Amino acid sequence: MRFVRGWGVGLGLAVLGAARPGLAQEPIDFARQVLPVLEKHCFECHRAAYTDAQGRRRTPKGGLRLDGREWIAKGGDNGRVLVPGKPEQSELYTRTVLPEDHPDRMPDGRDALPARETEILRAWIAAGAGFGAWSGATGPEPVRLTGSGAARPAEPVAAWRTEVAKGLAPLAPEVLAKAAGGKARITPIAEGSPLLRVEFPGHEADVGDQDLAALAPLREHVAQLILPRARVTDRGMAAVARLPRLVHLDLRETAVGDPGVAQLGGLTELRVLNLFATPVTDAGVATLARLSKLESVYLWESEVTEAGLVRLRAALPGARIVGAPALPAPETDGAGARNPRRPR
Amino acid sequence: MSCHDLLHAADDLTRRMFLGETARRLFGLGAASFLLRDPALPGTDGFALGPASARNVVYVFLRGGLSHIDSFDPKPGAATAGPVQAIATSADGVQVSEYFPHLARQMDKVAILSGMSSTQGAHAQGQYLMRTGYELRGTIQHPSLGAWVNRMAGRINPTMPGHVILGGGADMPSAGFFPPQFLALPIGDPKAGLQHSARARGVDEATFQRRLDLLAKMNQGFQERFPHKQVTAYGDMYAAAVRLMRSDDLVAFDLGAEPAGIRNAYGDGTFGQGCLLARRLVEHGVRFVEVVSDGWDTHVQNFDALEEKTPDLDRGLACLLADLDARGLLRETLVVVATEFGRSPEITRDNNGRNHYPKAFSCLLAGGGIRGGVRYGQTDAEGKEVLAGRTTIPDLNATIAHALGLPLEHVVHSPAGRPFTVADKGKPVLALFG
Repeated sequence: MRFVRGWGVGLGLAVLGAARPGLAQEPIDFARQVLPVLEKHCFECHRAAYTDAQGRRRTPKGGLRLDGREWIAKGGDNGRVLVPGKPEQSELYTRTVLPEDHPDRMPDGRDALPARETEILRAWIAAGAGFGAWSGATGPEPVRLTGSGAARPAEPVAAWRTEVAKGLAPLAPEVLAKAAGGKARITPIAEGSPLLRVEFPGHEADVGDQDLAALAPLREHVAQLILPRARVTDRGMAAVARLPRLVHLDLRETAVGDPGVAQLGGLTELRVLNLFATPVTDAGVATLARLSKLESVYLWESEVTEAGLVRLRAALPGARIVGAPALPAPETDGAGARNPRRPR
Repeated sequence: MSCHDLLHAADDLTRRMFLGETARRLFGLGAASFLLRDPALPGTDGFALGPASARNVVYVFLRGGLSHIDSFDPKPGAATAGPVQAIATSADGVQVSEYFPHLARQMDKVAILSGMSSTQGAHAQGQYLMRTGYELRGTIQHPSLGAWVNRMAGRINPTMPGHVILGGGADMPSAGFFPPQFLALPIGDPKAGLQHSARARGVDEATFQRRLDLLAKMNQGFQERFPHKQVTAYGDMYAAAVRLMRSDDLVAFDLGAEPAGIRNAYGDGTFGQGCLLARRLVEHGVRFVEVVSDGWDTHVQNFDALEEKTPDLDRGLACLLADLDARGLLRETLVVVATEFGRSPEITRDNNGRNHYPKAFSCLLAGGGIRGGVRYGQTDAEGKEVLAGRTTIPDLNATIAHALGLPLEHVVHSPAGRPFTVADKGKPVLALFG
């Protein structure tokens, strides 16, 4: 078999290069036929970094390694060097057959590959560039996290937990139990943290301004105050304004409007403010511009106009000012048009 | 039969039957057990909770095995892609299949886990593993993730259940070896809401109260003579049921209270309306809501089936993410999209289908402190092998548990004394957080 194939190559080259018979039709065994060519002519420069006999550190030239199947598939700094089935587009072959004096000819500064060996490369690529069982050096570690979100700096969700708590000792459990008074759910934001989350789940309709005033004993510790649908008013915000470590205030679906929001200007730690479905207007949110730590302000279903959102975004460039979402358009009778291939 | 008729029939019933029947009528069989639990502060069970980036979970479960190549790990140009194209999304560098045009606009909020890998290739075993984190065994029923979350972090709203399953059958693993108060409340049809939770027509509040007082009187003697835990529990459950009936939170179950524009945006199918109900339940402090979608087992005519089924999924998910985000809820609500396994990259020659494929598939995470606009993990050019970021099902559960601040090392013993943890030996994918 070996004899027959060798004879075929010899004959092909002898007859006429252009005809290229024999080899292209024969399956090429990578490990037995191609690998020795790469080892002899390419590996000196295109393999894993190593220290040569003279003690010099040798890194793969052009970022190209040919000592593993995944490395070969990956290519070098300038991209792929192998296009299976297309030798004329594969630099792994084309650069070995450039004229002797061409600056791109490989191997660089060495004798050209004998025609028999360039023909092995060509035929191997033409036949699909299979590697058989050979895999060689372990390939590059593929990137685990991709997409535009991967480049974003770490979200500040966690940073404030230690920052704001600095110098504060946790309150005694009795103080917390007393303050809860049957309605509030008061919990440390994490085991051992002095900072508290205060909410009234299941009791929102009974929660009024007096319940906010009752938070006074906890005032240094409240970091999250969650009041959706509570019956709190603008007047109640006076008590909220006295919570120096308040980071997250949720007033969604309450009656708190401009006079209430105007009192929050001193909450310098405030990062999240939810005013969804409140009567707050452009004038009200203008006072928020002072709160430089704000990261997110939610204003959908409030009275704030598009122009008001734009102004607030300009005043707080680091914050996410959230208005109405782009919900999918409701389905109509012609809903199938959205996905033309959907059977109807 | 109304409550009224039941009282008349009470002469013929044992007291236990009466109580059981009444509880069943109020909340459906098994459903009332969630009411057994009094509100507990975190830590009262001795679970040391770490910093949580998520408070609630909406866990979308696609039963049958969603094809990863045709959804969130598209392989444009590969032979295994079939006729499905990939489309760009609101996150540069992240593509999804053309079946998800609405979701594509929300991908800046979503992390795709493309390196999911399961050990189970059959539905029952795969679903069990995905929902409990443990392999199906004859000797024990493991608690579902929702039960673990409620046990460790506690219920948020004392009036509401801590764990609701929308559109899922009673065959779903639920409380496992945990006490019955960790059973999920199943709601078959989200559009119907919570059945039998209103006072019977013609019974005014005063009459209703008189009947409750009468019931209490009837029960009193029995409870004094038989002061067992279960007898008390039934009484407590009844009281809690009445509390929910009268509470402002009951409206959470009523999709009719939602503006038509929002209802329509979610799509009128069971899945979309389930997503909408999930949002309402999260707003009312339900810790863990599951939305189950059936029919993803596309062995036959895979592409036809997906063209039929994906529009509801696409619309419902996209709407849920956009709506939660604009209400300020997504920052503390972790949305999970899970399925028991992927589908084979090879398209079957006979019927253009795809078979089960647990080796590589995709799940989604969004909100609750998860970094959006990313793909974690990578499969090869044909979607066959995980090349990087291999994520096991316990790893996924550990990631969810980490977001909620649950202690991963905390051992809970089964009644027989066997040790278990919330995510078995799973490791959270920390790269997905901040």
